[in-house]
Amino acid sequence: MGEIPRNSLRRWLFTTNHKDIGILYLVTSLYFLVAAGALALLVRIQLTYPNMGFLTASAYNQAITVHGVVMLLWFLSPIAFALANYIVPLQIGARDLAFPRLNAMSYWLLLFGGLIAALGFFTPGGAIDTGWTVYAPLNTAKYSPQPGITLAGAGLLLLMASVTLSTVNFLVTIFRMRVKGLSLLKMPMFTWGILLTVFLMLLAFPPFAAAVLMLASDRILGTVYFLAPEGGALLWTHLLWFFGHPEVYILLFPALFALGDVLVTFTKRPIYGKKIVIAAAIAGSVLSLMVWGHHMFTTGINPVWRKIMTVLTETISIPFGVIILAYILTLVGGRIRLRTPMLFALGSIALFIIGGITGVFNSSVAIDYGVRGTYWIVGHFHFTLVGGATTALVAAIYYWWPKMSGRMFSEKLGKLHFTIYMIGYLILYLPMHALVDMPRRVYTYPAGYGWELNNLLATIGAFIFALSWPIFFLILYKSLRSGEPAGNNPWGGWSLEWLTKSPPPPHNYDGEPVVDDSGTIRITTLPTNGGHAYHEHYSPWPITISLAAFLIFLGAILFLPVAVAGLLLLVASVVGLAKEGLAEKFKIPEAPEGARWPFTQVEKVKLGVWMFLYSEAVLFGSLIGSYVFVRLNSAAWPAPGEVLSITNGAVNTFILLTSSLTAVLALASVRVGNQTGLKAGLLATFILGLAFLLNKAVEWNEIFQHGFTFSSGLPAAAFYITTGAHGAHVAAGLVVLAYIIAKAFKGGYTRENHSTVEYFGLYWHFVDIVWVFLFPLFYLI
Amino acid sequence: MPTIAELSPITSQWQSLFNLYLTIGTVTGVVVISLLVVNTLRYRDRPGRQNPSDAIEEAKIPAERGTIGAALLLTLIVAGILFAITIGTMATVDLIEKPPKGTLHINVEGFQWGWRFTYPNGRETVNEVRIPAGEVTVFYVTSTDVFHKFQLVEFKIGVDAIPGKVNKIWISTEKAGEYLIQCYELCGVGHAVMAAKLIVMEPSEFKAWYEGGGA
Ligand code: HEM
Ligand SMILES: [Cu+2]
Ligand SMILES: [Cu+2]
Repeated sequence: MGEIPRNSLRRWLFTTNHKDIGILYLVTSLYFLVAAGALALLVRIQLTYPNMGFLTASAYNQAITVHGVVMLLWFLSPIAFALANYIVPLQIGARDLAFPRLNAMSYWLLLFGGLIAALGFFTPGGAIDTGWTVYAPLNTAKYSPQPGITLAGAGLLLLMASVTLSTVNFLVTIFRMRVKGLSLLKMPMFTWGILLTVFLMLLAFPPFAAAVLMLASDRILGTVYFLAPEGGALLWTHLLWFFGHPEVYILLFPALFALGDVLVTFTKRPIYGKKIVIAAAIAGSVLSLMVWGHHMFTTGINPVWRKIMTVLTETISIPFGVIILAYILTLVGGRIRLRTPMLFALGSIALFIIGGITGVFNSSVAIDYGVRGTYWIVGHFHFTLVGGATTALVAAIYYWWPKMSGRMFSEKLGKLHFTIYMIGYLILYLPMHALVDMPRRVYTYPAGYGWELNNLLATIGAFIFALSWPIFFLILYKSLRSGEPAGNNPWGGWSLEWLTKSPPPPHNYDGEPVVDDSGTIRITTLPTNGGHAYHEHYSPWPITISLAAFLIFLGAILFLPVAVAGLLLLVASVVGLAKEGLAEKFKIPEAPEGARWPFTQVEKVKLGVWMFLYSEAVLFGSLIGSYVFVRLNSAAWPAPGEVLSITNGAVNTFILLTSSLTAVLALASVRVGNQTGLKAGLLATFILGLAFLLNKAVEWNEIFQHGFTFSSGLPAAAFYITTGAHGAHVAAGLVVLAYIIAKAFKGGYTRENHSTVEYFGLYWHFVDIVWVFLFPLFYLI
Repeated sequence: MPTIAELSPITSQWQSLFNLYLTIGTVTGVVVISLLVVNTLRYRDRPGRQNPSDAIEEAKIPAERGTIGAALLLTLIVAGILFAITIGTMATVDLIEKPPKGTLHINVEGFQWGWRFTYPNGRETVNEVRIPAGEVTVFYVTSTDVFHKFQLVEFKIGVDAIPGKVNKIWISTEKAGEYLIQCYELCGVGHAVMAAKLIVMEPSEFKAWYEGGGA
């Protein structure tokens, strides 16, 4: 593609530059904040007095649900990723993220996911109204038939695709694209925060993706996973909270670590115990994967397990306590400048302390018997999510704003903003802690239980707090219009992003940054090819692919012809993308000698494939785990051979394993330059894969005839969903394989250059291994 | 209104545990936030204040500071506080989960949107349950449709009502009177009004009602 002028719409639609995408994320997440904030105000108006008639029960439930979902997934995470997109490559001295087009796709999938979920408001029955936790079996079509919930599920799936792409992208970028001399431990705090965040995302999102897939199947195909009394309701809570607890750290880490950078700059001292803080955060992340049971204390789960969860949860407060104390120690002996970013940073720490302490209450299984489902909880999590995380991200936006815009903002208005923000905040959320016994998620409440005053206060506070946001936007707008030029390093920070222009040029640095042995960062001048020409930064396919996914979901849920249009667009886009790939247009230069430990030897794309397969393994692990869970809870289950033919399964196992072998042969051939062997191996793999799918189709048809249909019970639900997901992976593999075969017949792979064949092999073997688990689990026992 | 202590042993124990957390939490919060504020004020920049000796500089990786010893100390402080309150939790949770003997057993079914109570003699009531004062009542809670939570509002205690699963919760109170039972888990449009009356009667009155079979 040719040059696109900077001030055109096409720039924003087709950009793949990390800074442009960061800005898109920022604008989008603030938009979602305003929308979800408006819903919260409606909720607060309804709760001002007992027995108000402002919202109906149904409208109220939609309002709190969409408020919660959007705030968590379409505001707080994306706004952190806005900063991550813009700042992380700068902080490590990279030219862009490792996979710019995937990054653009992450953004568009997020946006279209939000739109499809929001469409629910315009369908009969309205938007999703089950609470953000979407508990089973209320979430099934039997109890909530409205399309709004299915649309939200589609939105979540798009969001999770976006998140998966982002995690892979950031992991590879941070591991592979640091400048020479910037070891992991020397990285600025914010980049560390993002690294930990994406690691947790990689582990926490796939189980949720599995749960949403199962729910989508229940709602669209009529399977009965979550409807079944054999554990359906509990299964959902397990999957949801296995995701849900790490998710709070996913939301917290970018903010908490951005605070680190702000503190260092405005105290002029290094973080107290940086290694300790990082170690504590890693410990917290590991623990966060083991404490989901504290959300299930009142479900009657095993008492011993409950006590273990109590102890583990209280243990998890230790690392966070340590981090906060280390931050306070950072202040000691510093030279603290109380500029706007620092004020918000300190405010955030104070509020997070309170939220952390009330969290310890909830970790007690005994106290939880009383407070689960009350306004005390609402108060607690707003202190962590809004007081802690959101406030810290406001600090971070103020901190990096001069870098992003090239302009300063009014310090006076900034302080005014801070004052109104804090006053509103405290009047809004402190009273909720006095409502220890008031139920949450109720559109109305009776008088006479002592709840009136605190609800009135909270509503007043909500409006004051809401008022602080237009002030924020006004400050940013004024700064853009008429702010003082910021210069490279307005706050006197040390890290790399402050060494380039504000805003940075498209290729970030005019030269190559390096960190020498004494720890000094220099920008060496380079021969001109190091800079990244701007026109390379465009691709139309990320947005069209995301739009296609949007249309396909929309069609599948509401109106089928739309899905056909989506499918056509998808095919066209994938072909376009493949062509771009053949032309090798996208090559983000890595620094010739970067700091790449621990993945020194692994090529960029290969590392990406590994990370992706890792998340896939967790996804299948969750599907298999769910099957085992319901099976152990069921009294009866068809005996082996009763429904599924063992022979048939064995044949398919044989076919698939053989196809792994032919894939290996193809790779071995191209390694020695044997083109015929390559083509034969690839074709054989393709034919075997196809045979596997055909055999499955015949099998499904047969058992369907015999009454083993989608809706015939738990065994059918588990079988169709798990092996169906596997079959979809085989099919996707065949699409990629078709592209590889086409390229192979054009002589596109040589002895030196055949990495795609190798990466495809990794994926294909993975899919085969999954089947090796599925065959015995479903056919033999 | 009866005082918390008069309501039920588990409620008073719950409240004293909550108060323990509240005391320790408030003290911790005040101390830590004071540290934050005091240090900010003490080290804030003002005329004459010098840069610290290890001050950060542009384009220079900051020096490391902080020791492992300090980290261990911090960890121990936080862990010590948590340890104290965990002990309290364990005692309370046993009381909540192990009802004393000699009790009235009532089966509770949550449904969209109400509560059905079944007594040992087969008697059934909806959205209203009567129990005798001074005796232990155990509720066996389940659901016939979606996920609910059976909460005894004044008693500050409750347990989930889950289809396919029975959870129990007990109370015993000396104070006759009317109390509120409310669903505490979002269960659809009727959730906010999914309430029932808990009527605690003098034992003799209860006996008459229970055996009389009247309304
Ligand atoms: C204008 C500011 C805000 C106000 C007035 C507000 C108020 C509320 C209210 C009244 C509820 C309903 C509680 C219930 O009935 O259970 C709620 C729920 C919630 N809020 Fe906020 N909130 C605000 C900002 C935020 C932010 C910034 C976040 C996250 C970053 C957030 C996350 C949540 C979540 C996750 C829920 C739970 C939703 C559910 O129950 O499904 N809120 N909020
Ligand atoms: Cu949790
Ligand atoms: Cu309910």
